[in-house]
Amino acid sequence: MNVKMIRYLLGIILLIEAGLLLFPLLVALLYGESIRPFLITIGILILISVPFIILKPQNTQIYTKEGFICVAGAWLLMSVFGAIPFVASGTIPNFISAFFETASGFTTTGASILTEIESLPKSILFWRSFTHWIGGMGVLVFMLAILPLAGGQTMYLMRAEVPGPTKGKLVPKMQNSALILYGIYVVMTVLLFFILLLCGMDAYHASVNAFATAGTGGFSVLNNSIAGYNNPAVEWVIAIFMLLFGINFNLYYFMIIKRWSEIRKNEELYTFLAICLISTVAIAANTWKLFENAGDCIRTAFFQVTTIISTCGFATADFNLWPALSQSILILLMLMGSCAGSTAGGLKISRVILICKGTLREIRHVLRPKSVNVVRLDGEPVEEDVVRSAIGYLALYLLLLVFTTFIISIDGYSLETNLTATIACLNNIGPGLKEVGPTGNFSGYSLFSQFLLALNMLFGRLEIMPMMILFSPFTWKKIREQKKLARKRKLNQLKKQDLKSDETIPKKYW
Amino acid sequence: MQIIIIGGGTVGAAICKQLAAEGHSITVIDTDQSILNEISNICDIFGIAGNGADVAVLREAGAEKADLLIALTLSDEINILACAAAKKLGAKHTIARVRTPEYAELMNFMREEMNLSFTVNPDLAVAKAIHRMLRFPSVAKVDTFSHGRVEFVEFTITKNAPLCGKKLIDLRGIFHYGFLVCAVLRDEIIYIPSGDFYLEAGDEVCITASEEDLPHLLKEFGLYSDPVKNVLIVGGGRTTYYLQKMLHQSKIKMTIIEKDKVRCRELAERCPCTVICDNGTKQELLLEEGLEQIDAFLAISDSDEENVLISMYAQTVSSGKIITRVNSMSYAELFREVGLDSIISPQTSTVYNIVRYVRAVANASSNETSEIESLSRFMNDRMEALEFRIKKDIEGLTNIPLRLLQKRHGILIACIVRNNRVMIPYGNDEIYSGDIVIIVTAQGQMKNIKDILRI
Repeated sequence: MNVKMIRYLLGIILLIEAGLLLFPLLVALLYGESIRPFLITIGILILISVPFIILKPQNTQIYTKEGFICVAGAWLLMSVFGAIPFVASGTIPNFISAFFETASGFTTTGASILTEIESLPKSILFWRSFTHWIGGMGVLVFMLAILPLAGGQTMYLMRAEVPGPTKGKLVPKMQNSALILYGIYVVMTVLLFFILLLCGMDAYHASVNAFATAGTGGFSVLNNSIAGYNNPAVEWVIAIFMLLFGINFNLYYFMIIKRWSEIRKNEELYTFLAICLISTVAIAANTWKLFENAGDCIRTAFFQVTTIISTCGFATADFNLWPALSQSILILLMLMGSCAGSTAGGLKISRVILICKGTLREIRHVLRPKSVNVVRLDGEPVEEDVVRSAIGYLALYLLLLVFTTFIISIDGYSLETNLTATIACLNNIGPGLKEVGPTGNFSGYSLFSQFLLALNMLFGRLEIMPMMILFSPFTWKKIREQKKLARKRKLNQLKKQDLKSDETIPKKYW
Repeated sequence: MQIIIIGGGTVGAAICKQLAAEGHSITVIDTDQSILNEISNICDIFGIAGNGADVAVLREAGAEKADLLIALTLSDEINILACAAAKKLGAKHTIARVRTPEYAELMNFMREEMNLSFTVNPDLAVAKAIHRMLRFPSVAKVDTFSHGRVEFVEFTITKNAPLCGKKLIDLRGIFHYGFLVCAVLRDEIIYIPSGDFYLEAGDEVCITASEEDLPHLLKEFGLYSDPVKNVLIVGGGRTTYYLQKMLHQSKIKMTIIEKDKVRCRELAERCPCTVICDNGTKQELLLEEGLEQIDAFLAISDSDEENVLISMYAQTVSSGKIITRVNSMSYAELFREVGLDSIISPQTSTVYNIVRYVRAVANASSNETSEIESLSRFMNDRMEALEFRIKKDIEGLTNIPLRLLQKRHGILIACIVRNNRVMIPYGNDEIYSGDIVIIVTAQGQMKNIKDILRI
């Protein structure tokens, strides 16, 4: 394994994070707040990353494993170092809680352990929301967009970071693909920012909410989340944009280059929109009596559906108080998530479609054991590997869900709370039900559970595998063995050299 | 440039790797999805599964706006069809790999009538290279530039050779013909030597000289041996077909051993040589056919393993020249270790040809001060030699004594051809417009003669 190259890439990522920290620093200067926390963090990041980058390895070859470890390591380190401003400013004195908050930011979860938000410094809140925007499209994709890393190995990085079973590339060159994705992302965010300005928000609120919506994160700068603005127009705008950010970004590219046929045949898009529509109607019908007028009812239902399915997690209503049917629909939506290749989390609609079709095929197969059945998506046959990996992903996902729910139940909350808390973290949503509902938060959990849930967010954002590989003993066992072997070889060499020291030895054998 | 490559076999993958490293946008079309996955793992390309001659697939790959389409499938017909279709759709240049001898003879017709910009024929290229090698059997590898006027040869310096232990700057006084040492491979490190470099025994050197001088030079080096009179060839594929024609013209006698009866029959019908239908891996057979007395032994069957094995055997028995055809160059260094120095690969020659063409096209689209005429690699593919035609005066390069040039490190001007006269350049020589200049470099990716200048 090429440890040196991983170190080099991680160095670059940390340097990028230091660069990104300049934005909240600017905000702090603008509002006359203390810039100390950001300066400290930038200092630490530069101190660590610069030596890593200077020691650029000769051998830049990386493979799947290095790609996965790099991505998982980058996200973990970003969350660790991103937590420093919270601790340094005294906003969140405990480091584990700050790590939870930052991981929640980068993974676009939006689950918070803060109870009182409005009184906090604006620059810290800006950083908190800005992490959503960074994490939404992914920092490695950002790196690929700005740095021309030679070789095809960059594919390994992109594949490990961009969610969902998609083709991954839009154009032959990786750098151009990454640039296109980020271009679409930036344009849509800016558009949302201006629309929010038009709806009467000031620049600060418009920007933090645009970040949180674009990354489908869900951190709010008000205690009551979006409900605190008391502005139906804002709710509509954010709800629609959450929906838009939940759609596969590749489709926007096809729209730009006018390849309408690609969009027309996209099964995932239709399914996604259909699910949104049906859920909204069902919830509106179910919660009819709780609202005074139809407009409020439909708006709130639509907002809740989009906020949950896009795994954003803003709140305009406390659905803890809603009937069980509506709650169940929301939990289903939580599990599903949005389209592959969007900024949202969850299982991804395309994977859900594949799993359903794969399971149906099994039933057909039982009835006619010798029949050959092909699973199709968008009218095209899907490779067996893809179907298998989708089902495998579901299994891993459920295992992780059960395991985490089980462990955090030590803290003594109800099963409903624990289960929805885990779902909310693993799917990068934010709010769950009961104690961790839209009005509650995660501060009640012990530090250990917070840490575990933060890891779950990272697992969910990177679609489990990269983190699994990072933590898997198999990965590291080999490195230890390699080191041992290298040491042995060196010893042997020294011995031989001693023996033959008077002979002339051709150089190349040494 | 936007490049579409059809067919992701070994040659396709090698070209993808090279061209992706040079920064082109590449789309690969292949019928096998798993091949596409494999290639996209090693280089930055976009894969489309489908038949390359299918117009819908070509459209999806963006053939309308492509600068270049390279068709490398196993089928000549698909290659030609895909090129013709792409040209109609609007691709600017097309390259097809055409291997069938019957089609190869129609080359001009195809270029004119079917709009192919360029065709590559790996087997013909290999046959030509083998023919060149047989002219100077005492050196490992021969390459020609500027239509055969300039020769590049590679050989190893032995202990008693006149070159051994000499300082390069003194060589001109010792030998009577002009030549230049372009590169030295010592202990797996390549040096582009300067005047005060000493040559040692065991060094592999690459020298350049003019066509007329080379035989005399080799005589002075103590390397000259008589021309090859008779050869033993194992393998009767397409390469042999092309080769027998050339050898026949050079009046070299040949014996061909081939397993396949049909192929034997065809060869015997076409050429006046001995054709033996048997398994070329049999020791007794090889000895019976006079392996020990033969001037040159060519292992050019379709199987790499067989070729390498029988070449190694031949080396122990015969003192003649041994040439081995190997498809995949991934073990090239290993072969050198066991003493097989004349390795020839149809793949690499195809790759050079195409890469040269791509660079020439890329160059032509940017400016027109110089043009790549040819490109080849030597020293285990680690060095590149490029031939440029200077079309206009270039500031900082032409009309300046070479010793005053602000050259980049690791670049050597090996030869200048002016008015069909070959000059081995000295520090006081100058490059004029209209010259052909041959550059040797370890860096690769040179597109323009200007790339040699430090900027």
